[in-house]
Amino acid sequence: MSINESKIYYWLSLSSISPRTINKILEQYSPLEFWNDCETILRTTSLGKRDSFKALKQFRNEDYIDSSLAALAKKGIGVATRAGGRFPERLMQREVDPPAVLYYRGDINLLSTRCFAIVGTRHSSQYGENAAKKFAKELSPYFTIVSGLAMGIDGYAQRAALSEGGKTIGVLGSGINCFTPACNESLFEEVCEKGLVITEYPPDRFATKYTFPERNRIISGLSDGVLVVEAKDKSGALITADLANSQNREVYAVPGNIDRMGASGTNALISRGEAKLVMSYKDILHDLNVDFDENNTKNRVATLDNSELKVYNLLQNGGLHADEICLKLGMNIVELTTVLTTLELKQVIKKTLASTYCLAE
Amino acid sequence: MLSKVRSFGLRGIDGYEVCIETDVSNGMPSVDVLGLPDAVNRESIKRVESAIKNSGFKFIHKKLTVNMAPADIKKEGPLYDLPIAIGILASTEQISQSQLEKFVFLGELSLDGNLRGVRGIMPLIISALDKGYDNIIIPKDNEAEAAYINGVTAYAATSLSEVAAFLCGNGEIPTVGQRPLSGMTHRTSPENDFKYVKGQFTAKRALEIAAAGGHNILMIGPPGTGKTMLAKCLPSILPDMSLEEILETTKIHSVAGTLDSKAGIVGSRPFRSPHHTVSNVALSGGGANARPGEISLAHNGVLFLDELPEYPRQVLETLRQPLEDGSIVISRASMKVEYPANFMLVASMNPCPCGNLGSSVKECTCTQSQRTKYLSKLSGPLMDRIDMHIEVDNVTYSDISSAETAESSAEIKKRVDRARKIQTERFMGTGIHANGNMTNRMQKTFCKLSPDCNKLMEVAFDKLGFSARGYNRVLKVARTIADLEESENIKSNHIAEAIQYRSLDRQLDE
Repeated sequence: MSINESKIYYWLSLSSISPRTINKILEQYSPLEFWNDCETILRTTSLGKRDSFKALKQFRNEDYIDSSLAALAKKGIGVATRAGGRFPERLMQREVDPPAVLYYRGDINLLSTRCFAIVGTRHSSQYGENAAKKFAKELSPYFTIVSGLAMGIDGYAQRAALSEGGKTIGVLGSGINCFTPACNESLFEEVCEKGLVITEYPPDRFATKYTFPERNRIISGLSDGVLVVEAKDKSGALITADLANSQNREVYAVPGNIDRMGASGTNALISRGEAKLVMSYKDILHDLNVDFDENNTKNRVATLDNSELKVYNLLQNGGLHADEICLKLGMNIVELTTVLTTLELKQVIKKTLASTYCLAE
Repeated sequence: MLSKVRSFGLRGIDGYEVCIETDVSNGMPSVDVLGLPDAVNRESIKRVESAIKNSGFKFIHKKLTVNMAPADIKKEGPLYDLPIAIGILASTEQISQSQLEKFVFLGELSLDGNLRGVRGIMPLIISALDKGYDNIIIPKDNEAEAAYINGVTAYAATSLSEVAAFLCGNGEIPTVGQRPLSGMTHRTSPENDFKYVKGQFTAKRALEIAAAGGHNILMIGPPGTGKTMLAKCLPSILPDMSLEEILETTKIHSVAGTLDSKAGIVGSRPFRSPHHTVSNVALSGGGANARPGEISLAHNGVLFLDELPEYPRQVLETLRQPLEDGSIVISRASMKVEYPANFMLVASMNPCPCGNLGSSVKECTCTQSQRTKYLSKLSGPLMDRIDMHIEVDNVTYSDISSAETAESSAEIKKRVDRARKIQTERFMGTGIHANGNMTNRMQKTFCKLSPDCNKLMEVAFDKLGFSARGYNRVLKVARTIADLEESENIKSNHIAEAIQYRSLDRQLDE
C-alpha cells in the first residue's frame, strides 16, 4: 500500500487544525508535497501555533493510516475525501472552506443531489414547528433537506422530510460516534438509514462550542439556499445565514410575530435585506428556478359541507381553541367536536398543542 | 367464674366475631389480656378498671384472665372496652349472665364510665346481622350510622351503668329508629356550580360525559385556566348513588373514621383531593393498622389529583391496579385486607413545567428535555387507564365579562342521571355501574359498531396516528355519548366526538 491523496486528506483530518489553516497550506503545496516535506514546511510556516501541528507529525505513519481506515470501514463509517470525486462542486468552493474529509453514514450519493437547508432555533414555538414541518414537507420532493439534527426546528424539518418519503442530510458538529442531543438519537439513526449523516470531525471527537458554528458552513455550503424558520437574536441559525450569504447562497426567512422574542432574529434578517421573506414553498421554488406544477395543491375544500366550511373559513385567520370556535360561530360544542373530527380526518385541519386547531398544510 | 361476651372486630371492611372470655380465680391479683391485643387494647384494661369503679361497681382484685378469641388474629382499636367491662362484671357476679348471650357489645369506655363512639360501626353491624345476631349494643355517638341498617335492633347506650342496669332488667336502653336509605339527597356546595363557569365549553362537555360514564379524565392546560375550579364543580353533576353504592361507600368511611357522626351516612359521592405530597400508603391504604387510603375513600366517587406530574412516580403507579380492578389488596406480614376502590380519576396538569406551552397568551420557556422529563412521569400503563384527555385554554376577557349565564349544574345533572340510569339497567347483575368500568368482553356486547362506524374508526386510527390503546377508550366514551343522547346504538357522530378526547395519545407517541 502506498500513500495517495485520499489518505493524505484523511491524515489531515486527524489533527485538530482548523480547516481554514489546512486550506491555506493546501493553497501553497500539493497534498503529496506536504506529506513528503511535512517537517520542513511546518517548521518554516507562519501558520498557527506549532503545538497544533504535533498531532499531524504523530499520525504521519502509513501503517497507522491504513489500519485506522480499515477499522472505520469495519464499523460502517464511510470516509469521503476531496480526492475521491464525491464532493459536490459547490462544497469545493473557496468561500466554503471545504473540509479535507467527510466521515459519513448512509447514502453518500445524496451529496450530489440538489440540497436545501432548513435551520432554526432549538427552542421553537408552535408556529415555528408548524412552519418547519410545512416547508420541509413541501420542499422535499424537489430538494434533499439539509440540517443539523438538533432539537427544535432542525429536527422537525428532517423528521417531516422523512415522513414524506423525502431525503435528508444531517451535518454534525461532533464525531459520528458522539452524537448529541440524546433526545434525537432515534432521528439520527433514521437519517443514517434513510438519508445521510456527515461530519468533518473524526468519529470519536466530542462537540465543542466552536464545532457547531464551524459545521454550519457545510450546511449552507451544500445547499442551493437556506431557510431560517425561527431564530432569536443570537441564534446559531443566524451564523448559518451569514455564512450562506458569504457563500453566495440564497437566504430565506419565515417572518414571525413582532412581539415574539423567538422571531426577532429572522425578522431582523429580513429587515436588513439579508434574507428574502417567504410565505410559501412556491416563493422558494420560483426564486431558485425550479419547475413545479402550480396546480399541484390538493383541493380538499370542495368536499366540505356547510358547517365544515364555516370552521374552515374561520381557521384561515389562524389557529383557535375549540372553545373560541364555539363562541365565534355560535355552534354547539357537541356539534363542533364532530365537525372537527371530520375535518381532521379529511386532513383539512389538524390539532396542535393545547387543543388549538389550525389548517393543515 | 367464667363469662362469655360477644363482640365483633374489623378486618378490611368486614367484621368477624370475637368472643371475650373472662375468668376470675383466686390467686395473686393480676390481669392478663390474651388474644394478640394491640397497644390500644392493652390499655383497655386500665380504662375498664376506672370505668367500672366510676360506674358504681367494684373492680375486684383477683387473678383475672381476659381472652379474646380467636386468639390468632390481632385485635385492634378500643371497641372491646365495653365487652371486656361487661365480661368482668359478669364473671365477678355483679351482673347476671342470663341476658349476655342475646347481645353483641361494641364501644369504647371513658374513665367515668361513659360510652364513646368507635369507627367501623356500620360494617360491624352488617357482619353481625349476617351471622344472625340482631341485638346490638352500640355507643350513642354511633346511632346515626346504625339507623340505616335494616332488620337490626340497635341499642344506643350512653354509659356502662346504663348497659349493666339493662342487662339486669332494671332499665331500658332506647333502640335506634330506622331511617330509610332512599330519598337521600345529593348535597353539594352551592358555590361550585357550572353556571358560574364561563366559556370552557369543551371542558364542561367532557366533564359531563365523564360524570355520566364514570370515565377517568385528564385536564391539561396552562395555570389559571380553571382546571381546579372545573374539577370542584364536578360533584354537582355526578349522578345520585344507588342504595348499594351508598352502603359500600359508608362502610369504608365508617372503617376509616371519616364519617360525619351526625349524618351517619355518605349520601353523596365522595370527592377526595389529596395533595401531591401524599405518601404511597396514604393514597393506597395500609399502615401498621391497615386503614383505607384516599383511593378507597373515593370509592364510588371522585379522586382528584391536581398537578398530576408533581406526584411521585411511585405513588402514581400504585393507582394502576386499583384503576383496573376497582379494589386494592393490602398485604402485610400479619394480615391481608381488601378495600374497594372503584373511583373516577380526575387529574389536571400543565402542558409543560412552565405551563405556557401552546398558550395563546404567553411564551413557553421550557427546553425540550424539560418537557420530555415532565411528561415522562405519566407512564404508558397509567395513561392507558385514562379514558379522556382534554385541553383547557385560557378564558378570554369577553368570556368572563359576558352576561350570559351558562347552563346550571342541575340541568346537566338531569342528563347525566338519565344516562346513568340506562347504564344501571344495562349492567344489571354484572357488578359494575358505569361504562367506564366495562371490560373488553363487555365492550364486545354493548359497543357494537355499524359498518359505517367501523370505517370511521379505521380511518381515524390510520390518519390521526392513534395507538391500539386508544381504541377501547374511544369506544367506551362513544358508548356514554350515545347514552347521553339516549341512543341505543353508537352512531358515527358519537365516535367522532369521542375521538376528540384522545389528544395526549398523539403527543406521547410523537
